[in-house]
Amino acid sequence: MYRNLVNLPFVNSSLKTSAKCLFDQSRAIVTTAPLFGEPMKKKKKMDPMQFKLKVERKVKKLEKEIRKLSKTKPQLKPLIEYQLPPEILKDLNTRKRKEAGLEEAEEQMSKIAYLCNVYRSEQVKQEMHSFRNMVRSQSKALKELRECSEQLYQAAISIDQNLIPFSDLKSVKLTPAVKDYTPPDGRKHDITKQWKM
Amino acid sequence: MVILRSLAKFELKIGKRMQNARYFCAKHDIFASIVLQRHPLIAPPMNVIEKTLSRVTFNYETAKSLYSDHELRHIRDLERAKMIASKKMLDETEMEASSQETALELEDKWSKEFEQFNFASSITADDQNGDKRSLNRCLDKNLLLVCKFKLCNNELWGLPRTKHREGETLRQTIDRIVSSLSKDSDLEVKVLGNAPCAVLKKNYSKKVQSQIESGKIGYKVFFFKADLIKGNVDTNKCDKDLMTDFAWLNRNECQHLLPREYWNTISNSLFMEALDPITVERVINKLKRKFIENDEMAVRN
Repeated sequence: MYRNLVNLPFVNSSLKTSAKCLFDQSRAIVTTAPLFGEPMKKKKKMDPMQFKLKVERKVKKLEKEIRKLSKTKPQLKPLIEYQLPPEILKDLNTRKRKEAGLEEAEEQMSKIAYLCNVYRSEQVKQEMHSFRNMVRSQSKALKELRECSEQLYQAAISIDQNLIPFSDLKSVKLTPAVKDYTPPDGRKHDITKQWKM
Repeated sequence: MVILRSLAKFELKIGKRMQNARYFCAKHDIFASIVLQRHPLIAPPMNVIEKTLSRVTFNYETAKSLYSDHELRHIRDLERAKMIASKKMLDETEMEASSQETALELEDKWSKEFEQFNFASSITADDQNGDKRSLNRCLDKNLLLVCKFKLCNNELWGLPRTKHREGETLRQTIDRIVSSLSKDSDLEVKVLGNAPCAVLKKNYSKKVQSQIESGKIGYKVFFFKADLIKGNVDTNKCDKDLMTDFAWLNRNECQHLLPREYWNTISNSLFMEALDPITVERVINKLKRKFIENDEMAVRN
């Protein structure tokens, strides 16, 4: 019987090995993973009437919720940035570019995609290299510090609460700011739409 | 029994390590040093590859785009001009529109206004003067605070450092440096964490070792990174012990000024700025090879 079991193609490997063990050393006890599991608990038998009531109550509750939801349709916030404004949609045909040059641009773009790949990967490689160097030099420093004194090491690996939450927002521009620049008069008017539920 | 024995062994090991630790502690002087950086204020100029990339993507995107309101207006202007030239009758609204400014005229007006605006140059006066104490230089690069100090009657360039005092953590030593740097000035500094970013370990020469009474055989300098928020250092107000002169230097200048071993330890913990020209050249060569191969393939086919 065991031999049959071993030869069956669909028997999984763990069962196969255990069966093999049984076959080789007769009456040896082999534990497989499922045997470690907790035995299943017996299900309590319920009164059929009570069970029915329970189900009904559940259904009623769900129906009520559905009714509540269908009364007011939830409104999704539209992504205006991804849609064309209606006045442009209206005269879309007149707005189509008639000048030639799209094909040429597409061809150039497909050629340049490879350049972009190579360049970016080169950049990432260098970045990863510098990250690795940083981590290595820091761990070396901490190791040396531990050799000096355990106390200093413990103080060094403690968290600096002043840095939490960490923010490092540096926006960089193409040219520096003009000194003593007086901006032209005007009013700032925020036209972002407010969406409420 | 086995467990007990292994426990005893373990304890022995720990004891040895503790002894070692005490031994090491006595061996080296500890210094803390600050790597104070000013981050770039403007973007660095694009290299050849970036320029071509941006040009091609710009062309592609404009070719794919729809006409803007301004371009539509220009087209209508042209049509109207044709109508007038052929002496066709125009209705009232068209007549009114023809008396307004055309799109081209507007463009001329705007470009004139644009020409009048003077952008600040990315090369500042201090770049041209060579004033290395000023922060208003090398705007597109990271700058590092380097200072001159006296050590055994020698004047040396290095990063600001102090000796660690007994009983304080290394972060407190760094804070001591910061407070002495920013004494009576508007300097603001953010120290990045309690952990050192690099270490420099060196032994004293035998001659010096014999002179030192404490029996230290060398020293360790622990470097801590910090960002400059605002202000500048003032030599007159700083302790003469800490520095007699200072400079804000970029990567290249630091590499030339600082001793090689010193620079190597610091540079590992500094982030790279831009791709070096060698890499850019390598990428271009790779591309050349690729496109030549492509052409050969096309010929074969």
